[in-house]
Amino acid sequence: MKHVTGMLAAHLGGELDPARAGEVEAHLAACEGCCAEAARLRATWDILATAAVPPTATRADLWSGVQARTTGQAAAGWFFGRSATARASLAVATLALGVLVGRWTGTLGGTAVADDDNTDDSSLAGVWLQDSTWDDQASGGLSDSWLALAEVTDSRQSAGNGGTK
Amino acid sequence: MGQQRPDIDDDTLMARTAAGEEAAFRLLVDRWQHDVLAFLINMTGSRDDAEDLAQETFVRVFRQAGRYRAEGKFRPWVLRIAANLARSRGRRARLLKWLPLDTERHDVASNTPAADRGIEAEQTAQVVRAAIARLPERQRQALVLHRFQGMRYTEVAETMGTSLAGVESLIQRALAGLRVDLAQEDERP
Ligand SMILES: [Zn+2]
Repeated sequence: MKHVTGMLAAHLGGELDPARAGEVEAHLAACEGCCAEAARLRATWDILATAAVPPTATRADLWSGVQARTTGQAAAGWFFGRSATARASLAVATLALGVLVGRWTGTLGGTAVADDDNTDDSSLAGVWLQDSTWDDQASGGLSDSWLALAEVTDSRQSAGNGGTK
Repeated sequence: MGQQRPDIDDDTLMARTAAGEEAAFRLLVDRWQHDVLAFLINMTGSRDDAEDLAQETFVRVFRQAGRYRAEGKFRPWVLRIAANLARSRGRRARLLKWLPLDTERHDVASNTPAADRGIEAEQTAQVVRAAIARLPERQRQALVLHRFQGMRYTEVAETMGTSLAGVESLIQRALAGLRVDLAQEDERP
């Protein structure tokens, strides 16, 4: 008899297809252990509702703050508006920095952030690299982290040049 | 705030934002700010942190508008930006030896009068939030997206850049972990 404890959360959330849902229900009717675990998980599932902050509970209006930080900035990618040489040198600099950051956070990964759940579906080859993988898989493009770092690089340049050109 | 135009889809608004149309960007902020903010409060447990991170999220939406892919998936896209920001802040906080959500930072409740919800219910909510805060980052993220933000597993997978099986496993372990954690909480005097 194959127990179904690994499918109980998906069952509670209504995420199992009919075949697997049927399998779980048939098993629960026959297995005391799984049935007891299902009851405990349902109680946990239900109590979670008490802790939720629903979107309707947030009254803040973020616009004025966001507007203050975006007015006068170009929305489209500054990166692609630059010359090919500038893009290439930036890319090299960013990659080098990325490797450094990857090494640095990779070292920390063994200690300070050891409680992070990195065993699931992404290996921890430095938190930086993990971020890149994550975003690239999802968007097929430049990762958010990559862009974030590129922005840092850009603001440093701007500071050095006394403003964006 | 004038006329709401829910008929204009997110992808169109993003294209107009990229073209420099501020009114389009504002509609996006108005439309999504509560979802983003609630997600960040649920992730960080702090309303102040969440507002700050939500603002930063939309600043990044604006800056990256030119590279947004119009595939009708604005929500997973914006919540992924928010999640990345929450994660780097949480990591920085841990490096500085602060807990991401310790008891003195439980300011979420302050916005909801205790009298309305009942003191006991509020205490339960705080215990549950503290247990959620102790979950590993990706388990917490998957659980919050699904249980609190109401995302189906497919949408959670898109947001987190993982597989359906990965989401199923994360949420299963999150729920089982909370069950054990909360049972231990009950046994405390
Ligand atoms: Zn069983």
